[in-house]
Amino acid sequence: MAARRRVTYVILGLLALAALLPPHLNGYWVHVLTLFFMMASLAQAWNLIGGYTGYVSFGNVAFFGTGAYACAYTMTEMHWPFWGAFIAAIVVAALFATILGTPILRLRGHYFAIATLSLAIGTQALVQQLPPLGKGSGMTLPLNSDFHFFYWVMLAILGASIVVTMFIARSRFGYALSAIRENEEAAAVLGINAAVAKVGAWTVSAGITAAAGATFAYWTSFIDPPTVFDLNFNVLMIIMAMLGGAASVAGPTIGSFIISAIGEALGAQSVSPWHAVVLGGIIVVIVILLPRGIMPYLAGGPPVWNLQMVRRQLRASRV
Amino acid sequence: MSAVAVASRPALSARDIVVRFGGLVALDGVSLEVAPREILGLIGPNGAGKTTLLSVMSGTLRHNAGAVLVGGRDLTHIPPYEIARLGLARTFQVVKPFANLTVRENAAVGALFGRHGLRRSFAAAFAAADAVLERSGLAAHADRQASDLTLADRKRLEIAKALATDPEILLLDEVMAGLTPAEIDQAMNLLRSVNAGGVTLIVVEHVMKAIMGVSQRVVVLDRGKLIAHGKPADVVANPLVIEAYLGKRYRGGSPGA
Amino acid sequence: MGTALTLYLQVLVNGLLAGGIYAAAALGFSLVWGIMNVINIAHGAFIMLGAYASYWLFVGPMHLDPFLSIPLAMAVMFVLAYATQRLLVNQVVRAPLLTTFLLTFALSIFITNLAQVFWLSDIRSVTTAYSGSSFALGPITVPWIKFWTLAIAALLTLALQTFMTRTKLGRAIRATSMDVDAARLAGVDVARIYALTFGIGGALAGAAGSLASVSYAITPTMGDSFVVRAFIVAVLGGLGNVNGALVGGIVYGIVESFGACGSCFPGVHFLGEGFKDVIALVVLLLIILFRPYGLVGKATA
Repeated sequence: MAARRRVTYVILGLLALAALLPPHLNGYWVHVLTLFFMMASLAQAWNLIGGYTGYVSFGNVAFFGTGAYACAYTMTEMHWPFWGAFIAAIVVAALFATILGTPILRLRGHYFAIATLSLAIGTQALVQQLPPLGKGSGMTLPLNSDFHFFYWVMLAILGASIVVTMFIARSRFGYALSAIRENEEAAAVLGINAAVAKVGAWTVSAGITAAAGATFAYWTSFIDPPTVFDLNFNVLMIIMAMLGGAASVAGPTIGSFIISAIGEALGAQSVSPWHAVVLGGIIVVIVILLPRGIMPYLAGGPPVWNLQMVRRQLRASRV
Repeated sequence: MSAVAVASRPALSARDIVVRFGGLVALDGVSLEVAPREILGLIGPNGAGKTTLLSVMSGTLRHNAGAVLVGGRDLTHIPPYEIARLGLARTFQVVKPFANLTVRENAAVGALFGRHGLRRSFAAAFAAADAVLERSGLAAHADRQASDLTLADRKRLEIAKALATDPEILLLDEVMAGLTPAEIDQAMNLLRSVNAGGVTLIVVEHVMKAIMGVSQRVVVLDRGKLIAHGKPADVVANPLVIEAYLGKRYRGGSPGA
Repeated sequence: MGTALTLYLQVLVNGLLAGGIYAAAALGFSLVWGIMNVINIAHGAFIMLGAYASYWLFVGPMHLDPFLSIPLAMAVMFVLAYATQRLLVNQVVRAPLLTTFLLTFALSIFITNLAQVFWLSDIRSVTTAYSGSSFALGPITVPWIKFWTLAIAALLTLALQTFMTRTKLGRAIRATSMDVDAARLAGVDVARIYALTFGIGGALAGAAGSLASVSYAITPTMGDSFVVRAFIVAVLGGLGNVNGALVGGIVYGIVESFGACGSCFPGVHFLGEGFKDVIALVVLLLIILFRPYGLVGKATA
């Protein structure tokens, strides 16, 4: 366990150093890193409900879009400053998660996954029908060209999400979530109020996700439903958390870094379908060979190239 | 069968419990009482409804009629986690360890959320967990992953988790199944020591040696009905009980092996 | 007949007919989910491939009518799906839900984008001599294509049901879904059964794709909306429930049809094409919350 803690501190340290970078970077890298901080935050947030609690949510992107639209609406229609909109986004998403989470989290496994998937798609469809939110044409936010500002905000959100995860992991709440993930019935008879714990986890997850969404909206100055409710965001969140090691504090950030790096190497600027083909292929390979992600290897387990462990894992999961 | 009454105020009282699964009646008006600090054995052929009764008591299963009273309070409609916090713990026949947590963490979950859990500090909870592991003979495995344990150790862990909640009443569902005779002796000693510490036990078992050696009273279920109760030796010689287990042919003769 | 009644009847019939393609799309999806406990997100991509297969057979030298190309599309997709299962999906069949979900999602991305590379995003379509024609049932108009689509969907359902209940292989598949270990002990080659099941699922997707090629625009991403509807119909009908897929598809088609009918419920502003999706998902959510075993299925203990 101490090895894992060290990993977390190293990452926090690196992020602190990253705060000093902007003056030395050109616009391209500021953009790339800001995006990385955002994706990592989404993965960290997802990890709370998906990794720790074991409830695989395909609906977290709904909170991202909700946060984005809450920010857009309060800034353009109600003329709030960004920080007001930021908080509004978090509150709206948290309420959304609490209210809808109460019935939806009663579902397990496949049903929960599908219910959250329909939540994501349904929220997008709903937003696409509402005139105050621009219907399908999107909304434009006030322009802010201080890209270093957004770099630091996203970095702060990422740092906060890691710290929040750290505190949860070591708390009573965190143990409740892990117990629920491992065996919900056993957790209940030991005195854990699973319903409350699950909703709590999803609410925190939603809040962080919405914060990133709000910042994204202000950053890009224009949002529309297909962009901020894009299911690929959700899949990426999951892959990043899985790759780095779900149910670990900083795993999602590591996974996010790896995926972002691969994306960069493949030439993220071109939008050719080949990019997606290769990414899809890589994910297939990762999912088969590294179901527990990289964390077991980083935290002092056998080396990644230990074929025996991989073979044993495969044998357990194939027929 | 009228309620199995005890002299003083019972620790737990089940009254006319009825459980139906569609057309099947699993429990047909079962009533029993357990005295404080008593060890009550609950036996019966497979499918008699023993686990169903335990599930009703622990709140995991909702009964269709009747009531379960603990400390005078009706547990109907109370969710399992609240029942656990009131001081009633249970083990599961098919053990449910927290596989990816360590043995110590498994016990700690019980200590963090059980009867006094929410009032305990982390340090106190882990200390209590360690104490429970010591009593259950798992101290040596404290840092191992629960999934790495042998069956006997996993059964011990199942008991340890429940014990860590510091219960007043403990329901045990076939904790001896699959154990060697030596392990059964160890388990029996553990149950006796737990009981000596003031915990009321209801023990569901098929291993007769354990039931005879540990119970003060025994209650017998067959096809959802209570058919006999009394001292272990009396119950075992009861012709109705013999018939339930072995069929009419053995009713008049001596108990089987 | 009153015009309102005619309107409602036409909407009902439209929904009924639309349900045919949804049922076809859901059959293979529900089968794989029910038997193997695998949610195959790539099912949509398989449908897309089936549609393209029919397209190429139609515009190629053979000029094969799309309805006649169904068996060929099914054969091609069977082989592809079988191979996919044996090589990839089988590796994670017993892994937690998350893993298979992600694997099939990644496969879907892989296949869809590969299609985009080779065939580009150009919208293609299959227009036959009878594409626009319909027959009249009293005041109701029934397009021939939609009629035949529903008929073939029903036929596929019947064929699958017969296969599952009357053939030795079908029974082996059902046995495996109930208890893998018991089936193995009875001599069933589980790996082969799973590959066959997935192959059949792929074949059914191919059929759905062929049916879709005449009614829908053919693009690499056409499968996405079909997968969502396959989800909904599969849940509606009960997982693995073959007849349920047909019933569920029809019910869903009708609900969607009324949901999109702006003039059906005057005064209610929330209906219309755009709200179709919202309604669909609210329905799904309600079903999952209150009857997760589907409208037709039975509750399992």
